[in-house]
Amino acid sequence: MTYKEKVSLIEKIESECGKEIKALTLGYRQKILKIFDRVRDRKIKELKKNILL
Amino acid sequence: MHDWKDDLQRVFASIPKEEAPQGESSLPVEGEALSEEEAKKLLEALEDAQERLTRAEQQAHGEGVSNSIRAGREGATASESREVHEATQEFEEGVKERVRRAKKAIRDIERPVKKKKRRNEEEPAQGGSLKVRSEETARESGQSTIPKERVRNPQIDGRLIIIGREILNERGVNITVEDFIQAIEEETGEHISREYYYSLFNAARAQVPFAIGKKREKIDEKKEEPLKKQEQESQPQKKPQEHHDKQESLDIDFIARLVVLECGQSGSYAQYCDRLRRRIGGKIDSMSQKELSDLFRRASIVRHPEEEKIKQNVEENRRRLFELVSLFVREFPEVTSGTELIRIMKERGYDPDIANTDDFLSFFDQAHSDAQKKSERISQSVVHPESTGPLLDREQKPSHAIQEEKDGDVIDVEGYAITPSQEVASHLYVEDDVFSKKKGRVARVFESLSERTKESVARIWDRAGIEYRQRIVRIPAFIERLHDKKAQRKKVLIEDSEAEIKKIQQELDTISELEKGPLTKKQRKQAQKDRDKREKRLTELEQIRNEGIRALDVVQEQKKKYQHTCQEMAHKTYAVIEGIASPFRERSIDLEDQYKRVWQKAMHFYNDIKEIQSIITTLEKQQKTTAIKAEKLILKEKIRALRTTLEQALSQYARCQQELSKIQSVLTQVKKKIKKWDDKIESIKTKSKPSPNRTPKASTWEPIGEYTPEIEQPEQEKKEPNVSVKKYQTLWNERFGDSLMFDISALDTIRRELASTIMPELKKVSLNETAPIKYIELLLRAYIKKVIEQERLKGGWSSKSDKKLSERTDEMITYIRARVIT
Repeated sequence: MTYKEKVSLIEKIESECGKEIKALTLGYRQKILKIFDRVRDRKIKELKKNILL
Repeated sequence: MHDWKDDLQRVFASIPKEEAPQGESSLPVEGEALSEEEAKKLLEALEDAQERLTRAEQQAHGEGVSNSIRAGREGATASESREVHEATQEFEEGVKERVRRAKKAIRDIERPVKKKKRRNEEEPAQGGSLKVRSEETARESGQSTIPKERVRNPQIDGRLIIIGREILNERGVNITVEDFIQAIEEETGEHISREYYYSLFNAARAQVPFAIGKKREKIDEKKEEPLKKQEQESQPQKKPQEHHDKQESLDIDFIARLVVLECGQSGSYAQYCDRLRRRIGGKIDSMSQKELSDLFRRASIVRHPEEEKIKQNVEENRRRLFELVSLFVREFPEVTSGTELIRIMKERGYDPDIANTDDFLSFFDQAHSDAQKKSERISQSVVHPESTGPLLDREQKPSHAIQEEKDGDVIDVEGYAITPSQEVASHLYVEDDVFSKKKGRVARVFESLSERTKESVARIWDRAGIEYRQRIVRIPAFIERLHDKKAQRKKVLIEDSEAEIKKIQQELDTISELEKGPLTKKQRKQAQKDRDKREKRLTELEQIRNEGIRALDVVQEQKKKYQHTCQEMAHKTYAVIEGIASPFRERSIDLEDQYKRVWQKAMHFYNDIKEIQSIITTLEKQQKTTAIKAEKLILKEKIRALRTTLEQALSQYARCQQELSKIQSVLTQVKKKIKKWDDKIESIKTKSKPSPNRTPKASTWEPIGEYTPEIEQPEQEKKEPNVSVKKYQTLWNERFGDSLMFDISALDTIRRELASTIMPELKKVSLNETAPIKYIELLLRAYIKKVIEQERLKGGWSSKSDKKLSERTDEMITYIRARVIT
């Protein structure tokens, strides 16, 4: 492999890995968001309950 | 007024464009084989990529941690927190796994193909057994539990050195070899042959700043010993030694000349040998006596201009020695004695030629004092990140650092509050230190090069310069990361505030909706209370958010400001490099000139040698011709001598012939007399019978002539008088003229003929003057012989006439002789 090929391969590997990590991060964030939405819903429900009590 | 900024701009403008931008390769991209330069650049690209991947991993971890904290803050239940934790863990592991895979893939790019091949070749050599080692056995023996088929037996490649260096950076250079091995295995997931660890450890340690020269105090001596043995076995020849040998072999003639110069032309052979041994070590023992004597003979024939040059080289060597000593003093500041320094230098493969101990010690003192001064200067200006001492006092700090502190612009570096300019300065210090080493390395290269071409020198120097410049452009990147981190923190703060504000607003909306409906007084009061509480918190959060936005702006400003500072510092540093580089460039130009001069001189000598060779060839030819000529002369002489001998022999033959004819004539007369006597006896016998008492008469035999060879009487020649030929002729013609006239002109012809060929003594006969009788007689006999031959040829000559003439000749000669002498 030439120097250029090697460098481009490194860049490619890095970019692929970056994409995978990005996808993982998006999935993770959605999952976390759902959990936090649930927490928020629960809290509002609790607040309502608390106020109405 | 002279503006230094203009100078910097100019310096910066002179930087080649391909070198300045970060991340862009300035190297050639074509061609299959990687040059050393490309390999180095590739290694840096690998290192950078791995660093970025590590940062991505850390970022993911940071996000996970922040979500876990948020879960706690937002009052998530245990099960919800567990969910967050599990999701975070899954995410982090996913990222970690991908980063690990990517790192491995990147490392594999760099790994040379031949190693894989070698590993494949080695496997059958182990008896074809690829069985995995029992983990229990391995644990019992304290060895790695990594399967044996994964055992690598590599050369110490750059990738492993990087990993090793990282480990040493993290855990310190005093890590034990055992710990080092474990760390390497954990990091690479591979098992390396044990004997290579030591080499790897040394190679990695050599790249850790400030680690050179430090001893491995913590390594157990018992463990170290076998490792040392292994190291010695695996590395029978150390690199510096090889380098040293190469240098010696290159310059042995030069060193010999130096030796002769030092000892003087009249130095003894033993002195020369002793001095040479000190300079080139045991190599002298491998040289034969002839080689040695030839070497010194060559070294002794030094022409005057060359002698001057060598004197200059001696000065140059002294200068180099000083540089070398300075370098070692900088690298080993703890060394306080010259002897100790010599020991360290020798340990590292440098055998300084300390012909003059006073010189060396004065160099050492000077270098030591210089190093101390420099160290004091540096300690007054910057704070070293590795320093464990307190930060500089306020009074000692530079004004810009105090201003930065006032602005609250302080960063946390390994537990110390340091302003960005200090941080940059400390990095520059490290860079400068690295470059000092590089400079030292270049100086060492110069040491070894001496007479090599400019191309090699320039190539080495350019490599060092490019590397240094690449390091300089990394500093702005570091500053950028630093500020990005700060900005990120501010952004997180702002985002968190905004998220909470949004949440509180939603809660307030909910409260408003509830308030619209029918509520009891108590419920309304509670709602109001909740509203107040949230509104208060909302105000607080808005304040926090606004402050965060302002702080973010400040950070962005600072980022710009420090980027500019860094750029300026890079320019300054580049100017410094240029300052350092230019003497080396000049030196390389000097070397080129020197090389050209040496080459021209060599060509001149070569032409001289060729000319001399052609002269030698011509001379050899001439010598050959001369030899032939001489041989010819000798032969001529021999021929002449032989001819003389032959002439002598012929004359002797003629004389013998003459004597023989004389003897024959005497014999004939004797025979005649005998016959006469016999006839008489017979007649007496027949006429009368002898009476018994008769006594024989006395013999009447008388000798006719007595033979006395003339050759045997040389004294006679002196006694005999010289006679004129004319007289001889007169006597001859008076007595024998009726039968044979004495023709003097014919006689002279015969004389000349015979004198030139077989009878040189006839030269002595002068027909107009007197001559010895002997020669005149000889001439007469030859004349008569010639006449006989001529007559015989005519056919009018019988043997009787011949006999008669011969008798008459003898008679005539005897007669004339008698007449002349009397």
